[in-house]
Amino acid sequence: MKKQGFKSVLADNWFLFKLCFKAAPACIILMIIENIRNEFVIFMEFTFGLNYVLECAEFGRPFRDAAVFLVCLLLFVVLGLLFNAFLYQKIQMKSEPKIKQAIKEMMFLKAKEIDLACYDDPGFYNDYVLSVSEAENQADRMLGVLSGIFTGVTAILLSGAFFIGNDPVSFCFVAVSFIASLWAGKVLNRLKFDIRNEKNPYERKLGYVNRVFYLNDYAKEVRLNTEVSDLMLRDFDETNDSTLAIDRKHAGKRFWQQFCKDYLCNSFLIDVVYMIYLVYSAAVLHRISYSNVAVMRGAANRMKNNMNRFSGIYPQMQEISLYVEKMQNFLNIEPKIISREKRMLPEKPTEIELKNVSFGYNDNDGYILKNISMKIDPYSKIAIVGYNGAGKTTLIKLIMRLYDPDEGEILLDGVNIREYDVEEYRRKIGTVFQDFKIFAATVKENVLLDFAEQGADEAVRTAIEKSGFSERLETLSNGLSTNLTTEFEDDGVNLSGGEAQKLAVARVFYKDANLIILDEPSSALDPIAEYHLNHSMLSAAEHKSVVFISHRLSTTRIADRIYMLENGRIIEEGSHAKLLANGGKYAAMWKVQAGQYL
Amino acid sequence: MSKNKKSKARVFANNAYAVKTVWDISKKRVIHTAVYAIVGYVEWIFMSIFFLRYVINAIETEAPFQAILGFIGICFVVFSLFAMYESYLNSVVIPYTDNQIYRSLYRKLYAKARNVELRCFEDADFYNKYTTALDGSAQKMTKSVDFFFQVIFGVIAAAVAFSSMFLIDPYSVLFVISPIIGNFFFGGLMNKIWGGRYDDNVKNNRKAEYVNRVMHLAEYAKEIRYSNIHDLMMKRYRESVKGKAAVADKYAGKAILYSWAQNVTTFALVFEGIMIYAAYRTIVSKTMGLAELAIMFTAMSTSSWILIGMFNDFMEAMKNGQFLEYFRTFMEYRETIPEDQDGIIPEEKVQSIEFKNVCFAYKSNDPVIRDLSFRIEGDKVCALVGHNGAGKSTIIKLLFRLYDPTSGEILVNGINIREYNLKSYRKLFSAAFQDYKVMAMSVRDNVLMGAQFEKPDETAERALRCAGVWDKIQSLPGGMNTMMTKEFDRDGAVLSGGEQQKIVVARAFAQNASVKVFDEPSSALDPIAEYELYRGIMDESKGHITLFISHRLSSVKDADMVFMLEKGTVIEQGSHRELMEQNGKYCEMFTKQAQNYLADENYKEEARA
Repeated sequence: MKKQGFKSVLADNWFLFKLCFKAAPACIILMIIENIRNEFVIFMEFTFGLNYVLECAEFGRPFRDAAVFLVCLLLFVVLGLLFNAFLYQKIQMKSEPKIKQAIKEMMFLKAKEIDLACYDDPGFYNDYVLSVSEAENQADRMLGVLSGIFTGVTAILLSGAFFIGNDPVSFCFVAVSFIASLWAGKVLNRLKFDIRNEKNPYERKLGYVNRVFYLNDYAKEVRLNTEVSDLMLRDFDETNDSTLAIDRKHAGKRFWQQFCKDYLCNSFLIDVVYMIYLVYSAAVLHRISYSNVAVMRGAANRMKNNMNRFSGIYPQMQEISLYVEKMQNFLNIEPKIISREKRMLPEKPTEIELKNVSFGYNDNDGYILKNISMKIDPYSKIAIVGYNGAGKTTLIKLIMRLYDPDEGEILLDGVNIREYDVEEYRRKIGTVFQDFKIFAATVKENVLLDFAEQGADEAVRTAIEKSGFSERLETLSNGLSTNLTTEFEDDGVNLSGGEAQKLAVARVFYKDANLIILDEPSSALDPIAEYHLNHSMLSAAEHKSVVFISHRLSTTRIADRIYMLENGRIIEEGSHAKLLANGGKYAAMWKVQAGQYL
Repeated sequence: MSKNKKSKARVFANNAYAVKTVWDISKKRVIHTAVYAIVGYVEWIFMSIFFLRYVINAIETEAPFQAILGFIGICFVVFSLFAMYESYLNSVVIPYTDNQIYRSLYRKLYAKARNVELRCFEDADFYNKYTTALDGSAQKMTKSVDFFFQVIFGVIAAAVAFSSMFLIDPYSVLFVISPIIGNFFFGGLMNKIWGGRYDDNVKNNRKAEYVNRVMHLAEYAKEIRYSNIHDLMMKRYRESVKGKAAVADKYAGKAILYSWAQNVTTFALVFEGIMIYAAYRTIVSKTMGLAELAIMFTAMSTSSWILIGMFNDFMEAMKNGQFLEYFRTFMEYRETIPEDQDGIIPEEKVQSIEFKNVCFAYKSNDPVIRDLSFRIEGDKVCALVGHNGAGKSTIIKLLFRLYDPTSGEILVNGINIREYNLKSYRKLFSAAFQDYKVMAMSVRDNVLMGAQFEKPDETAERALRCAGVWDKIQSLPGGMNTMMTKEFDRDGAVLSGGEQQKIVVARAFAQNASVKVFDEPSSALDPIAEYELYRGIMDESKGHITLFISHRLSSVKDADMVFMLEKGTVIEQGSHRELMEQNGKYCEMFTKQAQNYLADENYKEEARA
């Protein structure tokens, strides 16, 4: 694990604190006041108050003194608890979501901004997912740290003052016990950490066995191949034996360390050593009154507990710091795909040209695309074909400017696409991704992929009509306002795969793009549904340029121009007829697919 | 209210069930937990009440210092033994028995998971409950045992603390009524408020979680960059935050009142109350000694804290009860198709498969298979074809008896498959499923799947060759011994989707089954690989029945028998030639697909028009 400097831990915590404070300043100030108030009350009741009452009795002061003190205290406590209830049951209830919102919105905004390439790096991605999903826990932890600090400081100051006022030597006992248990705790934690580390690979194995038995994905295989579960159970037993062996190995050490921390450094020092000191002071030296014995012992225990709790704050702050670092790493990412010149795009479809484009996702894997040159004439229909892993999807991602090429350039209307405003550029491309998503929103919002503004209804309806979804729309009780998916509306509508695809296609029509890009738009469809979809797509896209990818050559043959990719290179290009006549790889592939139908 | 009472009774029953479950696995753990709870309370009460009372009494009565020292020494010996016991428990008994409990509990869960029918996995409701049951069940189970004894001995400890107060002053016990009311009455009301808030926020939380998911899953990343969906999602998220604030406001009034009342009765009234009362008795009526006053105060605060602790334990136990409920539901679930069902041992050779008027629905009002009848006899190659949703995969699931038909029957070798011993029955089949899953085991184990073979290596190799992935496997550093996935082995192989699918297909080739089933075995393959795979299936079709599902009609041409399905029933059957001659739906579908490949230039015109 990386060593964290004290300064950076402080700075990171300060960063998160500022974020939280900005989101809900009143709540945080009130919380601090409440923490101090609460600690003050505890001190007044258990230490000062008890002592005061006992002294009243011991030194024969009038009952009125004690009574007035106690009634005032009671009133203060009762009013204080009202403040407590008001803070925790109302103010905090409302502020907590706001604090979390402040953190999350910042992350979400960044998530939109960063390059898609970031998602390809598993290290980054895990950190990012962690920093988003952990945001709520960390905000809670921050509030916990805050209250820990103010509670601890108040308690230690008050009891410290009490000890110094009454018997400074007592303070030493508490300090020794605190330091000793801090040290013993550290030793024990290191042992526990080692044990956990040693067990880690085995725990992962157990997790895997778990998944095989409880995930639906494996359920069929497990039922059909009964022996495979015996294999899994054998692993399960072996792994459990190994973790048990680890526990056995450390048991002796752990026993003594635990004993040392729990007893010798705590109860032993306070209840035996300190107690002997107190008794000696009271019974032999008569330096303190015997009611003092009870009060001091209680105060010592409480003070030590507070110190222990206080010492637990720093590890919490370290956790926060680790998190904040991940968060800042994420927030500091500079997107590389940016608008250089913010040029506006031509209104009508224009020529797109790829010139010697090469690209790789990372340095290790080498280029996925090598020296690709191609032309997309305005209004033409371009098909990209090739085997799995040939680079087809990567190629369209470059055209969509989800990535920038490593070498070469992509020109639109003779201008490098980097010169255009990115958002504007993307707005002019309509697309249905291979893994398109239906969102938990209304039908209309799903077409707009934006707020459902007033008045867009007509345009949405037209788009839906073109995509062939209107028949299904008729059957929906709330029309365009029908909620899709049962994600959070129980009466939401779940669309079938084909219907969903049609709705996704409507997005493209609504968008009024110049270029339409389709990545295997029909992979989930059976042949006839595919036929219909292609048919309607092409007829609706007459005034646009289209680039599409398909495995099925029956679909691609209708293209004006076909590019055949292999290992990241274009190996053949031309019309279907020309490629067949060439007798190359395309022709061979065609023969395999079509030959069987002849 | 009665429902509430019932559920409380159920919580107790469930916790008792947890104790019983752990008792059956490790009596040692249960006994130690009980002893631990007793030791903990004894120490607590003794140190905060009796120990202090003795010491103060001794000082007050001016007992010799040595005597007090002796007493403290005895306590030291006793409690250091206690502490040793606790340490022994924490570092030896608990880790060891944890291991034992984990092992035994999960083995039970796995056995059950393996034994329930597939429907349980596909029914979202049941499945969620089941995953909840599995998640951390060993810890939750032992936690229940902890709670159980904490609550039981907590009651006794509270009684002891009260009686020690009673001995000093009988009336002082009256003050304890206040925290009891505070915890159990106002605490109960507060709990209802928490429940209400939780219920009202379910929708808000779901919304926020959904936005969260959309914003961080890679699969949405492209869409976010290609639309304004980000703004829409932000709007949803803000709605959820506002919704939470509204919920907070809705309950604020009552919550403030109850929580205030709870705290005042639990802490303020009893502390300050007893102090005033005891001070009055000491100072004014002089009926109480100074030591007694001090003891009174610590005894009172001890019993209050025991009550508070018990209340919290009780609440935790309630929460845990929900988990236990799911656990029990799952373990006590009665399988409709128990995987260990006994029956006739089938003949090794499948002569015939017959579906007789089979109907089936996953959900009661949505039939997937309607009045389906067909018969397969002898070692044939049969293809199931049809549109999406025609019920092709469901037929396979019914044949494997992963589901039972709602009506009608399935006969294998003339006997209803329900009569067979299920495990032996399943051995008749081998299958490559559409949703192929490669396991984190060696390539060999992935192909053989734990089944015993005379010559395992040769069998696996032959199967991999048939599936067309042998060359790839040979190129791996460890050959067939290479671990799949990086799950456990840094050097594990991560293969492409197509290669993984081929390995899964090899499973079907390897098994010595009488019926081999391929459910869309080529979905991740490119055209040439697909073509070769089907050729492999045809070549390997001797000596058993082959059943495959395909979208691609060209691959069906060589099958002996084609079943064309529509809306869950067979509408046409026969060989490819016979069906083409019939000129029905199959012919139409085939022609349409073929047409795309034929040199029919009209297609393009038509598409443009």
